[in-house]
Amino acid sequence: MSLHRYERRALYGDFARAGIGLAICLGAVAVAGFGGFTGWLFGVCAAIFLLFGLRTLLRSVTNYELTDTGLTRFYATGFGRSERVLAWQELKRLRLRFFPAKRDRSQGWMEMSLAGKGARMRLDSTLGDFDSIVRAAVGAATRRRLALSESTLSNLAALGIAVAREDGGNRTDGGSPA
Amino acid sequence: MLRYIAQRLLVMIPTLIAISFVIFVVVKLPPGDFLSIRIEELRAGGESADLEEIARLRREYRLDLPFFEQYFWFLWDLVTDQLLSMEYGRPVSEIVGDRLWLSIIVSFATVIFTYIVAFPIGVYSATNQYSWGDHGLTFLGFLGLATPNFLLALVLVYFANVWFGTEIGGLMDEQYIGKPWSWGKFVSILEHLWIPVIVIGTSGTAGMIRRLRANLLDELQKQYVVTGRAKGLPPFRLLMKYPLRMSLNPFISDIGELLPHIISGAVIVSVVLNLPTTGKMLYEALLSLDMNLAGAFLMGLSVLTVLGMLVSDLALAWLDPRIRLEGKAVK
Repeated sequence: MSLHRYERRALYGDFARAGIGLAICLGAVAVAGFGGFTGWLFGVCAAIFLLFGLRTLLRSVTNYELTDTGLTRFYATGFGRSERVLAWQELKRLRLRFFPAKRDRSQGWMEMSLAGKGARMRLDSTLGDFDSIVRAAVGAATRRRLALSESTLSNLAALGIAVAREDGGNRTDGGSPA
Repeated sequence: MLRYIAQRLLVMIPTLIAISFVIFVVVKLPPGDFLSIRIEELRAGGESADLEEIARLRREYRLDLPFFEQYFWFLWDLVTDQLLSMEYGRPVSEIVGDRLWLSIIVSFATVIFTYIVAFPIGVYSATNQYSWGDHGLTFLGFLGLATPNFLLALVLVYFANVWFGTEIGGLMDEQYIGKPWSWGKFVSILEHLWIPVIVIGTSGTAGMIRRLRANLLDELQKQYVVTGRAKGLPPFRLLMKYPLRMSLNPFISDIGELLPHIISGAVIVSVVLNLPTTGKMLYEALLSLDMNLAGAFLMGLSVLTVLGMLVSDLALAWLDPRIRLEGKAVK
């Protein structure tokens, strides 16, 4: 069993981005008012930065527990433990996406979406020891004979995780066992 | 995805500030200003300029302030929607707003025309490479690419006059100009719309046909298509399901250019065809050195360009979320 949290440094960066963006956009809304196009535009941006800040806050208290049987997500808020479990034997979909931070795609981060019976999880590569969770999820997907998309396979290859392919053809994202 | 959007938005803010500075510098580059041009015009007409009135206007438009102060007030007035057009003496947003809807109608119709015509032709050309049909359509495509829009406009105006004895300039009948929107005005616009749509859309259509053909040909030669064919997949289903989808990525990248294109209103064509769109307005504002109107409009185009790039990047990240294999994910 291993415990995984989002890295503090990445979280501080996201808090800073959310704070700076929110301050600039709210300042512009205060100057422009809500009436015109400018106010509306900055208002929408402010709402996005607010959502992003709240999500970062949620991530700062999110923990993942990786076991041989599955992945458990719980929040360490001090108001009791609320958790969701995704059992590997019930894994139905695995998708690994890459979001570029630069136009040439040389930098960026990965996001893994997992879906199983009654549980959906979305984790990104700022999570501590992300690779080991990906390896465990891919192992489960292989055992469950889930079809993985071409982009997921390419992204796995970029992480150094090889997946045995049976037919060499294109595959769709998750869904039904191949 | 939310993190991606937030990061891109944060980068957009300094980008737009830098763009606003460049626009302000470029708009201010020609010698003189709106008022000095006005004084010259009055003198050329044998009239004397009221110097007190000129000084008052110079103060009102802040033309007497140092460069950076002028830039600051330009930005401030832009954000607070208080920027006044020097030529019209009305808020810029009102003046642009009058013409914006007409520009959007013309440009939107052009985009639809472009897609409807380019898409089937591009697919046909790629799937029937080197056939007579492909050669003929390729020839037409190159002809469309090589013909400047304004020349096509002039040719159409000439032949419409010689053959049909009609004037095809303008975007509506005279009785509707400057009148509020009505059903009659809308119908009149639709009747006049086909000429600017064909004129503005031809080169875009030709370019899009060439790109779609090239992209689709690349995809059709890949191994997964050969495998699909070998496994007996019906050709149409194979085409629609994989190669066509992959070849659409450049179209999504084009969204970034689409938004500003929709309101820019094809400047030269709008002058030739006498269209009351924003393109002609920008041209006139630049001629008269109305830097507030020209600057604000160019800034609006820049905002739409940056937003368009964001939308296209989001769509690309959604549709094609592959890492470049030689790169690596960082945390």
